[in-house]
Amino acid sequence: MMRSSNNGRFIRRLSITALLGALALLLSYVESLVPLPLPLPGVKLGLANLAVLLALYLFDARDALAVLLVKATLSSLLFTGLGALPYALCGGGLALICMALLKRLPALSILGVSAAGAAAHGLGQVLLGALLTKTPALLLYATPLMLVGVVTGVVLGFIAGLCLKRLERAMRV
Amino acid sequence: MSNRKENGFFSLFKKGDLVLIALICLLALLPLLFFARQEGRTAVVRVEGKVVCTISLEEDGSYPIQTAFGENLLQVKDGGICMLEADCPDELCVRQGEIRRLHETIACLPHRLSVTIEGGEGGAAYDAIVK
Repeated sequence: MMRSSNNGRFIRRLSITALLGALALLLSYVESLVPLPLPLPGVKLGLANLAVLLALYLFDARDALAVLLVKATLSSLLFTGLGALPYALCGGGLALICMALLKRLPALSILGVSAAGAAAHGLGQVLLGALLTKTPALLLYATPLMLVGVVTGVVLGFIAGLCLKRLERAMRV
Repeated sequence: MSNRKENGFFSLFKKGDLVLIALICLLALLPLLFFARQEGRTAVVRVEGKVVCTISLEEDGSYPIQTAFGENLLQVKDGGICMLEADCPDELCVRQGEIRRLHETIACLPHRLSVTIEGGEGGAAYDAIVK
């Protein structure tokens, strides 16, 4: 009896994480449809991070990692090209590490965690770019990327908070 | 009253969030301290970190760069340089526009190519070496 209910919970978690992976992919597609009219490369809304945030808050970092890997692999195969995969993984990975660690601090809400994640995402990509092209001056782009990331991150965190409130209610049933 | 609802977004912030956001902003501004912002007189083109050519910014002209990764076309105009064309998939390098200040960089990540403004002596000995 105990075992079957554990199984049920596991299957539920697996399916919801898989759904969030699909959501992440969909959001990165939607995002590719609305290019921002900014002369800064790499600046984006980071909509797909919403799914990663939800997985992190509904379950834990392992589920969020799964969502991130699914999203990064599939979206680079489908939309951005394989060349973008290392950047997506590096940015997304650093973002996830930051968010998973900061989430443990009770002094922070999802807004701060999400803002830090978005800033870390930009920083991770710039770091990898600076390493691959061996051009330290590329770090100058971390400034606008991180500042924009804070803004988009807070907004996204707010949206994630709204979603979580409803999701948690729905999942209790 | 509806007051609380109107402040809904801002009341969600905890003190720690604001401290964290301030820290991130400070961290973001850090690179500005390390890289001075005067105008440079040469552009150095690197592929995978190796210098492939040095372009003087004192004379207008265009410079095609062909590498194993693809083709890029650089244009020098009025002391600045921009990526005019590139056959990379995202063309972010083209969208980046013109650069002219020291350490400013155009990167074409799919082609592992970067163009960095450096001081130099105006590229005295040569205008360009294209491999």
